Amino acid sequence: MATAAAAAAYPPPRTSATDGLPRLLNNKYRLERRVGEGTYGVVYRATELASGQTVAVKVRGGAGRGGAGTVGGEMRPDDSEEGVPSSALREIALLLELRHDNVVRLREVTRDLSRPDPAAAAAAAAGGRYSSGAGGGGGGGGDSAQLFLVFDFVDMDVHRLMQLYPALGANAALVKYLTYQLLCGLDYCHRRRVLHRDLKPQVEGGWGVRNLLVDVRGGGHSLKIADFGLSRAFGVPVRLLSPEVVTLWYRPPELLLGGRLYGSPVDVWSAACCVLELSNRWPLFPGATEIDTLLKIFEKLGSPDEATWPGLADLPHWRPQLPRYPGRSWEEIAPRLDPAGRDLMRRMLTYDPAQRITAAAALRHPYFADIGPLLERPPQL
Amino acid sequence: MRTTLVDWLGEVRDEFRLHGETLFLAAAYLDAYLAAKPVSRDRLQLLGMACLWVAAKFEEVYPPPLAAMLAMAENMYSAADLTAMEKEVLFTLDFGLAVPTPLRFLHYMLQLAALPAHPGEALSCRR
Repeated sequence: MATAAAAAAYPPPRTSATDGLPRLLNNKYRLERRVGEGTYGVVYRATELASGQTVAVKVRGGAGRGGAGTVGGEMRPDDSEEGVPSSALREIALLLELRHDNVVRLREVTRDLSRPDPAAAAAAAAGGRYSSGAGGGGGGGGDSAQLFLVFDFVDMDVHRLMQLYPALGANAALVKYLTYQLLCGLDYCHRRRVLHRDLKPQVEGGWGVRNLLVDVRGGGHSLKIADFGLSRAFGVPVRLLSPEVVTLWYRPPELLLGGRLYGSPVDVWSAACCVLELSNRWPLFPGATEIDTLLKIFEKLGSPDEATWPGLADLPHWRPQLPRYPGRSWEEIAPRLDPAGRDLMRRMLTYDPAQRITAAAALRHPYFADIGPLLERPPQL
Repeated sequence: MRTTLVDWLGEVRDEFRLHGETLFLAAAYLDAYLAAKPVSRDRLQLLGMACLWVAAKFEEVYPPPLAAMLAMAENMYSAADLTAMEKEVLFTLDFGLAVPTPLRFLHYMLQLAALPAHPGEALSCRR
């Protein structure tokens, strides 16, 4: 009864550009067009009516979402029947804690207040005593199963920048400037005990996974880390976490070998993969499977052993009979970086997570000795 | 009432073998909600369940599924009751889920006291 009345009162204004979502969200934002799909959820470009500012609205959960996300090929349930997905809950809770120039800003989280929550409506229809509404503790009457995350809109990302400017990798000053900002944002997250767990410049399935955004307004190239759909808070000491995180090509060896006690070094590894992809204009370890990725790492960096990585033999997927490679020279791995840049990459791609350089220490590396002038006068393309 | 509820949440935590941190988070969410809004006696248990469910989703690798949560309360509440209460909790707390708990501080203090690793696991149950 309640559902039928609601449906009659709110014929959903369907448009192809917004996949059946209302064009107008809470009389506050006008959804304009679909611009991408993150690890979880579809992203729309929208305008905040009061200010005229362009924002990005990410839709999480509920019926209008763009299918379950895939993580390294494995399907993840993102099922609204299980309530708010844990990925959404973590992304929101953690992003609201983060305020930094190099982290995308979450302005607001809201529901579609014009539509009743299907769950609450069903409970009301079933005469449930405990449904919200009726003055109880209800959050202002009707709501929807979907959550809308409103972000500052940034219209460029590292991947598109690389497509538009093939010579980007040869621009040493710009690569350094972007690398520095990536590490600044990462260091900030780690200080706030947030792991990102999905840093990558790449694209999945043709839609821009806008993980590393670049704000080109004002002629600068301000980098913003985005898409915290796989992020989580970590404690000290770190305890068992899921090994099925981080897109395959950017996944560090401790995860590929099945390690479950990991921490901030996973993001440092992924960050180095991003930087070298930017510099080389080619992904560093483009493996088709976990073992393929691992062997690509061994082939480039040389196979690890107990001497270089104490504790290696205890990792669940480690086998002594894995092929042994001598590794390649850093001139070959990072041809466009200067010696200091190569040294930083070597430290960020250290096998043993305990010996891998931290984001904080990386910012003090000699590669960034001349970062001061670049910060004052951002390099141009 | 609160003691009874938190004791029961501890039993649910034992049943699902959740981490101690999850129970502490649930209690923190419960207190934050009750400080913000009143709740009727017949919805208090539902509120506690929603807090524990949210804490598990935030903290655990494998949070208990909805049906298992409902079974713990002998199906007194429906799936729609729990999902609606979950959102009610999230918006009332403004998604402020990343809060430090007493257990976190206990871990730090035990570390400073140079006691064995992971002692919190032994202490993290209800009592």
